[in-house]
Amino acid sequence: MSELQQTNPVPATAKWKIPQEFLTAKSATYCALFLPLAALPLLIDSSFVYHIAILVCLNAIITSGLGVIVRVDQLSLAHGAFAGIGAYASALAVIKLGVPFLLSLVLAALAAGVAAVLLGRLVLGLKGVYFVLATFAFNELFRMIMLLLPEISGGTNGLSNIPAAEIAGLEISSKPGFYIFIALALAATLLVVWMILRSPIGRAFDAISGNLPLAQASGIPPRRYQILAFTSGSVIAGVGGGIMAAYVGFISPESFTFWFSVNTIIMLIVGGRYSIMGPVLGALLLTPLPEVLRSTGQLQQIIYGVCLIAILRFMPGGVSGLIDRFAELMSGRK
Amino acid sequence: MSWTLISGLTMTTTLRVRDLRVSYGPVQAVRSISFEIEPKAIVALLGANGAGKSTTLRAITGLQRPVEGEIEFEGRSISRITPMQLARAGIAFSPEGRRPFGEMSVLENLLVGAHTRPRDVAKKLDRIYEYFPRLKERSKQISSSLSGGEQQMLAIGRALMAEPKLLLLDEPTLGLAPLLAREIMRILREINDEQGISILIVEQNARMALKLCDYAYVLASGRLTAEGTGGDLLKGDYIQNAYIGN
Repeated sequence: MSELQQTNPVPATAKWKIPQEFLTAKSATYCALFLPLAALPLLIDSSFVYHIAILVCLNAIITSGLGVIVRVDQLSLAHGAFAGIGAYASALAVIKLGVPFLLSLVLAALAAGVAAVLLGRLVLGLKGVYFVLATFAFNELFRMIMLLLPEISGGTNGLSNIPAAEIAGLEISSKPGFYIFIALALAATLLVVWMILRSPIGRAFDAISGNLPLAQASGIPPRRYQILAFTSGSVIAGVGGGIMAAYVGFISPESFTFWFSVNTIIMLIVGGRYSIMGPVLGALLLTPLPEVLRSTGQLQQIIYGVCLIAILRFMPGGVSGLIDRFAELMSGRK
Repeated sequence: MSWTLISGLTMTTTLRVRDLRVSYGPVQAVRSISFEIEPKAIVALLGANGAGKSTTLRAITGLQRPVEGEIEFEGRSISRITPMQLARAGIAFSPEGRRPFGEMSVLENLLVGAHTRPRDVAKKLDRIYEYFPRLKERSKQISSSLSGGEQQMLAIGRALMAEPKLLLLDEPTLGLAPLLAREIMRILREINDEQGISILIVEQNARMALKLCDYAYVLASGRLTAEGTGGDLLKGDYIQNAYIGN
């Protein structure tokens, strides 16, 4: 737990001005919404609910990473690959080297980060659709390389029997234990993302996506900040991948296909890409949806598609856009 | 060129453009012009539409590479500067007129302006709010909801946050009501007086710019056709010639 506790406390420096900015109507609304919701699985205490809640948190962490990348106006289709890099790095470290779970997550972050810097330097000069295509190609490349290296990746069979997560000698393989861990990990992720986006770095991200020529004239080097956003977002995906490997206990190249990336994008757009809580909302709505719709059989995909189109058509800011408006109404601002 | 002031300090010319030639493919937009901005001066670059004013500005700010010529800022060549290096060098410029970072609040816009010089932000903000009380009133408002005049104030305020030595303004009064335009000109004079920032103002609105500036250059078809103090040019018919042709 020591890792988490280090990232959790609010820094005391006056620069961040946390009390002022934190006590807004918006954050109050989100707290009122999410704190009871986060406690719910503990009250219901059903294995199925825990499972869904854990997947929601996992998807929310990975989608939060994509949310950072999207801030600089780049859409990455390689998010699945970075989750995969993190998953393989942490699983291999645990299996082959006997590294403790939390340290394996640090290695997952490092591996995803190094890969993101290298790929970012290569493709971040590309604009719009070319960047998207290049990241798509990278995702496929990752999958194929993993398939071609069975002695490392286990090939098509993947890596199974990944040991259960263990923190300070305390095994958290039980569902409630893992749920508490991943909920804290999600909270830490959101706090880190919030701190990045509230800092001058986040302002530079927004400046680049808001008005690129003016950002440059203000002395902001776009490439450097785009690589920074791409790397931090991919690092978050890598950590998510590492957590996923430990939870599921099995990974294969097919776990991190192009569709993994697409699903992440859908969660982000549905939840709202302008808000820090957007990824959480997206994961919350879309993770259980296939389970809920399972009884409808073939209709499942159609209903899923119609829901998506409706959200895109009527809520361009995603669900969080709706909540923001509600919060503004409550605080009496127009 | 440098000259010695009475105090004995040597001061270099703030901006010096020599034999600047800029083409867009076969089209010559600027044909060999030279001009200078002295420290703490307000200089106007005037001319009709298509005279080459904006092209000159694009060359100074590194958005358009000149075919020929030398551009110096405080004695150092900036002919090959990129727009990104301008702010660090001490030149403030809004490349798309007054268009702000639309999704950001007024305050956030100003903070981005301080990106290269993040010290003493509170002090700088106070001073800008003194010049433009309207910006203080609207500091939390999303900047895309501001009026044209307010956006121009924000553009100037954001430029000041970078503590520039030279402020480049492209048509700051374009589309503004005369009263508001005069108000902005008055504040520019105040900023120049109090902070000693040199200002290069590119304007179609010649009369108003001539009243503001210390010295002006008149462009027509990519060449300099007249120069002089604002008062001198207001008296002569140089301006009519430049705009209407003779």
